Amino acid sequence: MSDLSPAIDQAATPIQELRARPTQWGALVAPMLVLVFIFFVIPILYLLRMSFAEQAFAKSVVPIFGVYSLENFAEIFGDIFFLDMIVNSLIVGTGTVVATLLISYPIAYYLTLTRGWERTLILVACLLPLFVNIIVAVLGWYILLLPFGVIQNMLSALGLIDGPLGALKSFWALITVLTYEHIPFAVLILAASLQNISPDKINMARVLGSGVYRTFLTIVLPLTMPGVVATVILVFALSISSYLVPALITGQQVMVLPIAIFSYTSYLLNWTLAAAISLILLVIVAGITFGLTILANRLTRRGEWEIV
Amino acid sequence: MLAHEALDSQAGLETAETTSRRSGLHLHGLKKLFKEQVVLDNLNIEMARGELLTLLGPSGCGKSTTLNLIAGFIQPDAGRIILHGKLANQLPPQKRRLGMVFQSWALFPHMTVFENIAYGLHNRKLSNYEIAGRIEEMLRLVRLPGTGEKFPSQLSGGMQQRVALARALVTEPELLLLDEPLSNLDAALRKEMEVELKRIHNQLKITTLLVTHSQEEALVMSNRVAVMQNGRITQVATPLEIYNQPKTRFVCTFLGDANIFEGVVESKDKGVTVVRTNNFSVMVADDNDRLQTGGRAILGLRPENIEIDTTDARTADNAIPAVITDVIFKGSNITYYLRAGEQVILVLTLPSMSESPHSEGQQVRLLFPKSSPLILEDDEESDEGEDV
Repeated sequence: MSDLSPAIDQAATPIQELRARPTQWGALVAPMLVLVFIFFVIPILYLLRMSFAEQAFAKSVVPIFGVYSLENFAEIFGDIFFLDMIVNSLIVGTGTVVATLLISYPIAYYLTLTRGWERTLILVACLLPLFVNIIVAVLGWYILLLPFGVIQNMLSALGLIDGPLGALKSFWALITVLTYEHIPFAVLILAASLQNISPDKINMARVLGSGVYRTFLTIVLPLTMPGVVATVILVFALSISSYLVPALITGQQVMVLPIAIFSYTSYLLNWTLAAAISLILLVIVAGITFGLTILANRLTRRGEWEIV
Repeated sequence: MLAHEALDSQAGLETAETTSRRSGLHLHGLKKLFKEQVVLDNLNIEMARGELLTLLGPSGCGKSTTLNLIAGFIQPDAGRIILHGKLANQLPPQKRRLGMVFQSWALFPHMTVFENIAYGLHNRKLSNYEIAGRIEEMLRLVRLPGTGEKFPSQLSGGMQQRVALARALVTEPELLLLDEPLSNLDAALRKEMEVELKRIHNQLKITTLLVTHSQEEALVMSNRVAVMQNGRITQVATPLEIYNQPKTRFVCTFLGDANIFEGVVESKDKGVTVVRTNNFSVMVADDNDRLQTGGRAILGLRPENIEIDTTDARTADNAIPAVITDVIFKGSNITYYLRAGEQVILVLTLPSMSESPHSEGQQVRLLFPKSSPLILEDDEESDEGEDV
């Protein structure tokens, strides 16, 4: 009996046992850490090194010692062409985020209110585009937005416009297609977030005298803020770094960072400059992610009330 | 009931409105269907100002639906809701001037205790100074002074419950709705909060409608208890009356323990009626002439109203021989399970310091006077429901 009871104690809670021995716990994470190190950390470090290398090494292997400078960054920040490009990317990213949120939040909210076949229909409509390859989907948009394409012909037939529509080569086309691409993710994240608000809380706000708008602004929106922030970060990062959509829709007309990176690596063959642009893109995404998270947490004082 | 339906026209409306000026809440002929299933059927409740009325019933009896109708979250299919003397059927919840505490308490987790309580005061045109004063006063009332800056997640369950109550009371509502407010608390805390809620009600005299499935809560806290079953009110009375004079079999067994005897009325003579069950005969005092010779009778007998006799020396109106099958010692009382023929009988006695309890297998007699058995209606018979 006496030698049996400790064995029972240990067997009862395997998770507690693992917590008590961090080395074993760490062993579970190790394969993941190795993968991240090989396929993420090393390439990033290599990118970092290359972005600070002198342009003399742009077309060759960069030696490890004594060739670093800020030459690439000086060129980027000294040239209005590059600055314009960064601004373009920021506009596309921000525009897509705003458009995605404005469309997805009502859909997600409606989704939480419905049941049965209607809910299934909306969910399927949201998920179906994910099953279509993005190139196919972009091609569809291409046909719609093309000069003398469906939209232009339709608007002409209605007498709303006269002459060709410049839609395809504009910011608007780019933001439209990127928004289309990201709505499914946004709806799913926001719906999950909205689903967590118990109807009791909304009912309580109403009993306490709040109309629809005040209830939304004071209860629903603050409580879904984590979901909104997650959506913003995801959509911003995905759309600012999207290469395929701008390449297919606007090409060189709207110069965004991924297009430039591709040009410098493939035909202009200035790898160090491409690396520097990539690093700037990375810093923008990381900066926005951290900034937004901190800002949202401070606005909703989330750290203070949320049970982690 | 029939009179009510006949009056359910202009005249009915007028009487309803005049009486409602004095009353805090008047529900008139309320009906609600969910997917063609009747959840509430012709429900009538009238509450006096300052009263604490409890809707008591098992889950699914329609008590929460009633509360949701009063709050305005759902609309009735028929009937009128008259709040503070005005027809409120069409009013949205935010215009009904209610205080409410949910079972989940529904505190806003992203707001401090202060902000939670202040939430309902936004359209009262109060200065910040006045608001702070009101909230300080509320926090003192619910005995949580100094917690204003904390978030709900930093408080214990009982404290959160008090915040929810303070939030409901700070707007000085004319009607307070409590939807099973104590069922998320542990037993000890629940007892404490029952007394606390009663104290606050006595102090503020707010008309309060409490919905619960706990008979203890209902008996401890209410001025009147309305027992609900299948979308109807079966009986409404003071806690004492409803315990001592339950109308139906359901009310009798739902509030407290009861032995139910079913039988046929054998004879009636000078206020003494004899009911013959399958196992024994029971003498009943049928003062109001509710039983008829040859008719069916359902009797309820509270376990604490039966005495166990082992000596054969004493006499009583009823003396039923029985065998003890189980003895359960609970500290402050002893519960005996006995068997008389097929009938299982429950008896509750107080343990005495001098005597040792009876033992299993013992042959005893069960004594009770003819006034003890309660004459009950069967549940199906009381189909009409009762007006509160």
